[in-house]
Amino acid sequence: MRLRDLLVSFGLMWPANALAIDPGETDPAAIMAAVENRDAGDKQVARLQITIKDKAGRERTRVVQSRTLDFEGGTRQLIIFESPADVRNAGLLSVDFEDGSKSDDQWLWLPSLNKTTRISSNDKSGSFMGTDMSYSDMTKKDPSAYAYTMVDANAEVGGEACWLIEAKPITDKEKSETGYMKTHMWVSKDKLLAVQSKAWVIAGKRLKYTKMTDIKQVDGIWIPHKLTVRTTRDGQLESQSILHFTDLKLNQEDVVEADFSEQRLRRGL
Amino acid sequence: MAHEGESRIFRAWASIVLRLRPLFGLLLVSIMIGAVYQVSTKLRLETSPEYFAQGSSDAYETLNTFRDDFGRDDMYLVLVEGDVFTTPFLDQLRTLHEELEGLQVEFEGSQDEVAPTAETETTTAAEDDWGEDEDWGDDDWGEDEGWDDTEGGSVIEEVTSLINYRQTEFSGGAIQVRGLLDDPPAEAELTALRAKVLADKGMVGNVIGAEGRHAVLAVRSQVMSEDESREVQRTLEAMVAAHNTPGFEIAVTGMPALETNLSSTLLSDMRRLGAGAFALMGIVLFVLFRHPVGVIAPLVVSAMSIAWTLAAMATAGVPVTLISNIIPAFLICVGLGDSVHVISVYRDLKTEGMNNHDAIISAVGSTGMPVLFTTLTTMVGLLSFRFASTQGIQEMGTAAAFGVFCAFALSVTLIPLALSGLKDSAMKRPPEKADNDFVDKILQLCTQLSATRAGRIRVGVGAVIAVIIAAIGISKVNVYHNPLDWLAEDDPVRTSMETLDEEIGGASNFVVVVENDSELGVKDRELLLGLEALDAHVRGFIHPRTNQTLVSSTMSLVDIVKETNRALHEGDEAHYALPADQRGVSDALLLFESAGPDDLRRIATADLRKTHLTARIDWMDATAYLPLKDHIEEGVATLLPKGSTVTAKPTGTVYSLVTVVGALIGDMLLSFSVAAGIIVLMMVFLLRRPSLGLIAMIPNLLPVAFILAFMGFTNIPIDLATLLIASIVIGIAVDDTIHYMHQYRVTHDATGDRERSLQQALDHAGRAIVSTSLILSLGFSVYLASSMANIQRFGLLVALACGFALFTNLILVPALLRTLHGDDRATA
Repeated sequence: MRLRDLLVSFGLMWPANALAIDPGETDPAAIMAAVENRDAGDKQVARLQITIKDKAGRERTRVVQSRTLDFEGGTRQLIIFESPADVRNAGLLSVDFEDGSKSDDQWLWLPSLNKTTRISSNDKSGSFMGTDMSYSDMTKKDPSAYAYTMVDANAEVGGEACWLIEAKPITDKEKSETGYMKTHMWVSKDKLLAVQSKAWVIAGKRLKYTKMTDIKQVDGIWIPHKLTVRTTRDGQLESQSILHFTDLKLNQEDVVEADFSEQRLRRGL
Repeated sequence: MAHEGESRIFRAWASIVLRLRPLFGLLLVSIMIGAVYQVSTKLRLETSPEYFAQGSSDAYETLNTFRDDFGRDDMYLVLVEGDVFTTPFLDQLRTLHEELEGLQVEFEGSQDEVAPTAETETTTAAEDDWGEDEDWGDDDWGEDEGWDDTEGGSVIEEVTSLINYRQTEFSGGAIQVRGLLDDPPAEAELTALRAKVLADKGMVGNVIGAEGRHAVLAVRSQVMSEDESREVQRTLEAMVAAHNTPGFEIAVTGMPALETNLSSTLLSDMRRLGAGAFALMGIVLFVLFRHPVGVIAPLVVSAMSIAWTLAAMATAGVPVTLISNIIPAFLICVGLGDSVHVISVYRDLKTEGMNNHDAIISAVGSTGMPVLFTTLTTMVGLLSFRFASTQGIQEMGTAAAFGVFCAFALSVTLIPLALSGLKDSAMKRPPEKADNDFVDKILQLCTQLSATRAGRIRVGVGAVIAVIIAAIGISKVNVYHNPLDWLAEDDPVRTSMETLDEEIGGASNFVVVVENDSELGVKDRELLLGLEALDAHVRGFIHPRTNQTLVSSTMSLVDIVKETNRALHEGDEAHYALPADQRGVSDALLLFESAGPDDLRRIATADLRKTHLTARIDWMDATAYLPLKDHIEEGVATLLPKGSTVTAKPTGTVYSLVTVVGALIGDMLLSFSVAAGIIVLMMVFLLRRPSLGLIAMIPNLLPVAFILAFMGFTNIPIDLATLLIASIVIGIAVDDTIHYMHQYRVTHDATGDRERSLQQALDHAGRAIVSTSLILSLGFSVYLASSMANIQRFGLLVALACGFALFTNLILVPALLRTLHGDDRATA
């Protein structure tokens, strides 16, 4: 489930009452295992504004509405485009499997053709909808594929106590799928959220900085409503993506199985 | 006390230098140490032709903006020859592809990355577009050291080959954007694969040759400095060498490889031949002066002038370019010329019986002023390059002018210091050769040619015939810039570029950047229809010279939309076309972005308002691309939608080169005209008579005409290597003329006797002029041994220019003076 998994994979959706890790914990593997094995909530609806900027300051904004529903072994997500006007009512239905060996499925509804088209992609290091985020950024990580190191058990971000943990992929598959040499994550001890991260991108020796802000509780779960990703090279900003969630709600009873069908895609907004 | 024609100021200066020898010696050594340090640590070499366009037309800015938006347009092209459609070849190609993607190069002292702090944003991001995000903060990353010392990471942005060539296809009931050989083909599939690939107009001429015998891996690196490029190429060549086996024969080529090869060969040849030229000049100096100081001192003056100038360039961050690399050679001319004049007069004075101390002071006193004037005229000529539109030429002019002043300062300082240690008896001309040696005979012969009226007529008629012949030669001069021709015929980069041209398609490219400010941006179907027509127009270009197509492949957003539309119709070739309506185009691009967004980033900006059409074209000389440039510009004007929202600009390496070469020719003419004009004024001022000043210009301009004519007759083109030859020739000629005319004027002012003045000019300046011309001609002849044609041509032209300047001065000046300048004694 793409957009929700995006938040999950950065450790952003955590039940406020599920802090099972002692703030004095210094074992990075234990902390990251907790990050990967959390309850992330279900039946989510949200409106998402995606803004992509390049280094010249040119930007493009798309607004989509999304619905998310878990199923046994995976997540379904429906995205309907609200703007820009020329793609309004186009829709994307995706099914993501927790089992990494299974290919995720995506169906795109294109009004001009009046039919749905299945999309297949194996390149997880590729960009998500033209943003600075990759599909692998939005995929749950297998802790056994990483070597974790505690860089700083007493780091701070904006005055908030954090663990600074380094995650280094130890398998070629993981390295290839993420495209990263390593990642530094600042995990908030209070909220148990990775409030920011820095990834060393192999291609072009770039750095990718991610920051979560506007963190609010929704149904008792800490949820950042804004995610900013900046890609830099040689200290120069290359591009930036901002994902801004509004009207984000969890446990919506009207999110049902029938929402994730071709008929619903055809109906549009 | 100053003697006739000697300058009090320069006598005083020589006295001070001799009095404070230790101080001046220490000062010169200290400056030299600092200069060597600066040169060895900070001097850069820059061989890319587009460097010259900086500060000129908007071509350079357009190219830079294009590279900012879409990455480098010039790529390393790894050419592999073999039986491509076999399993062993494709397996090895895959291995090489993957290794190239991970190419790691560590640069010394570079890659200084910084955290994305507010300060960085201010300096790198566009105005306040980044600053509005109040949540980002600027101190949350702690001591962020950027990439730091983390091992790994590649300087390679992208590798494109058969392995990952983009396929937007309908397969297994789904649309996918994937690499052609993401899944290795089975043996039984190879025949079908071959047929599919060789029928694809996007792949043939891009990543595969038409015969299926050559594959190309296009390697796009980051934008780097020359040093970094050299390092990358060294690593890349070492990597591919490990794969070079029979049946998988590899060559590294492409524009970055050519530029790196040019700069490396240029550097090594200049070093080797520069040393050779110095050695040969040293031998000639020894023959002339028969004393170690007479050899070493002028060479040290030249060497120090070069070192100081390069150090100044390094300090100011000015690189050595394909044009400014002539500065060392030019300063050898100037440094030796200045020094030899001082030492020649010194030796003459000692031969006449003067003691060492007085001879030094008197030599500096009598030559200081003409040397200063030659310096000023040369500096004016060089500073006229400030009028050029190109930054590279401007910088060259300023740097060389600085160097000329250094040569002057060192000639009147270091030479007295060096001579001060000699005994009174040292460096005199041998008694048996005191009169009528070989040089004297030449001088007398040249002067006597115009001694009679009939002689003057003969000289005049000869000059007129020479001018007519020169005019014919000048009309044959070509502007032709092709750096590939500079390299030896068996040079690996040259041969692989030629193979690439023959078997695959060109290593050059031509780009048209199209921007649409309307709401739809580049998704506008009308615009895409225009681009489609432009694509066909570009592909259909037939070069008038070869009568063959020049464009091997094209790539644009239209291809992506067509591929996607075909895939949306389950691979039906009939739908390899733009969708019938606007919504269809928007949907196709939405689908493509969902399935292969990284490819879209290479072809359109983030706001989808700017895109480009890139054509791969065969390698030709820069001016041969002019018809293509005109053809494309015509297509842009007629085929793209008319409207205030659409703008289109040609760019790319080739366009930049064509524009730069055109601008440089204009610059050359402008600079030369300005220099000639100012030199006339300075001549009038120096010689204190307008008539003499104008007469003096004739022997200065004729050698320029002769050299250009020689270029025309021998098919030596005007290119970046020979562009400034006219300015160098006038620089050499002016020096000869000033020394000659200065002596003439001093004597004529004192005696009013024209013939005596001519003889005096011959005796005092003539020998020095012959000596410097001989030294420089022989010295620059060494460059004929270069492995690069441009250096050979440059050496030949300078050597000839010295000869032309010498004989026009020795033969024409006396004839002109006898004809046009009155004899006051006679008239009195």
